[in-house]
Amino acid sequence: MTFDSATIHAFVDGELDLITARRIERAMADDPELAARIAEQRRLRALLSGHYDPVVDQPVPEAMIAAVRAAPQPLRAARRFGRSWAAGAVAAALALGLFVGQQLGAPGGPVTVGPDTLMASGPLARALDTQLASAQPRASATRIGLTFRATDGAVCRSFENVALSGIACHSEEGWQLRRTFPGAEQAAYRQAGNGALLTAASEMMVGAPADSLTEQRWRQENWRPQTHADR
Amino acid sequence: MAFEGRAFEDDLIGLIPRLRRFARSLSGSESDADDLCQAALERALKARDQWQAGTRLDSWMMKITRNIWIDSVRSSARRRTTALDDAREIAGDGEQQVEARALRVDIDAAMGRLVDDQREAVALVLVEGFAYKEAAEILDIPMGTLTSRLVRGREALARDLGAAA
Repeated sequence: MTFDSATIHAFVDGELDLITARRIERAMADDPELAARIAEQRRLRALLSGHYDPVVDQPVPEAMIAAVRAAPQPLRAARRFGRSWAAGAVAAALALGLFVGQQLGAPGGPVTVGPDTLMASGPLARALDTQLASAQPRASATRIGLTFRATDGAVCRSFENVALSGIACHSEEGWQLRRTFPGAEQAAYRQAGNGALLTAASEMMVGAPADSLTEQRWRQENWRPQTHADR
Repeated sequence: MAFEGRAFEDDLIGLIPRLRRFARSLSGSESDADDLCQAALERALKARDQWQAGTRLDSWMMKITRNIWIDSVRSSARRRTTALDDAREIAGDGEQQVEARALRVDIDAAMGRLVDDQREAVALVLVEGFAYKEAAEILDIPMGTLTSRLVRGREALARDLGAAA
């Protein structure tokens, strides 16, 4: 009697019905090749467990527990936003580590955590709303880089300030942070951050970045320009 | 929701060790795994109203983790390359004491060489110990698809790990 791989694997995984399992057990007794295939699959399971199981016993990073504990109690979920990039934005923000996290979490900081995403707030939101790349007020802590249209049609702007740089895209709720990088304060990251910012912008962009006239017009239209043909 | 207090959070925290293991078997490196885990926790907390009380939180979390992983794999192939570079670096050490470590890296690398849909099937069933039916539900695929991915994934692993397996 021969058994196919799926049956042998199911036997090793304890997924076979009792009768088939008994048949395999009996066949193993005088079929060394079958016995060897089963042994190989058992070793593979053991090898994988031996490799991955120790992860379970490692201490859980504090940041993960803190993230769960710090979560606001549930509100009504907003489903307007696409979820795939939201997680990306969150992951990127988390990857920045605690130093930014502390600043982000502070009241009056540049970011608030929305129902499904991170939103620009305070002076950062104002800069995104009002500031033109072609006329940056010296007093503003934030510098606006590129303004462009993203693949989903939203107007997005790259920005840099001391705590945070990134790309924010306009939505009904305000400016959603779709990419975040360490700000100028983390001098060592600055160069890399700049390159990453440009790369991220170019990946998100449809067409060319807005020139200064287009940028002004989009601002007049509250960052909701009607047609896709304006460039 | 108010009546449930912080039970959801407690359950979530209790699942973190398993999530890290699962993330590790998917992403191949510790740092990528922890980023993935963090992102999954964040998404779960924000989407918590989509979890139906009484259903398995672990399956739901694995599904979220797996979806984020797939998104990131599809949006950039860079992660795997980095993991493979690490592996080469360690292999280049050439010290005997590294042998055990090299074997560990071999397993990560062998998992990394599986195509994504085989790797996730192997991770759920062989590493996480989910029953076929549960794993198929997490991946949202028919049982037959799951078992055929498992067969191909395991055979590739057994070949790849050679004498070790």
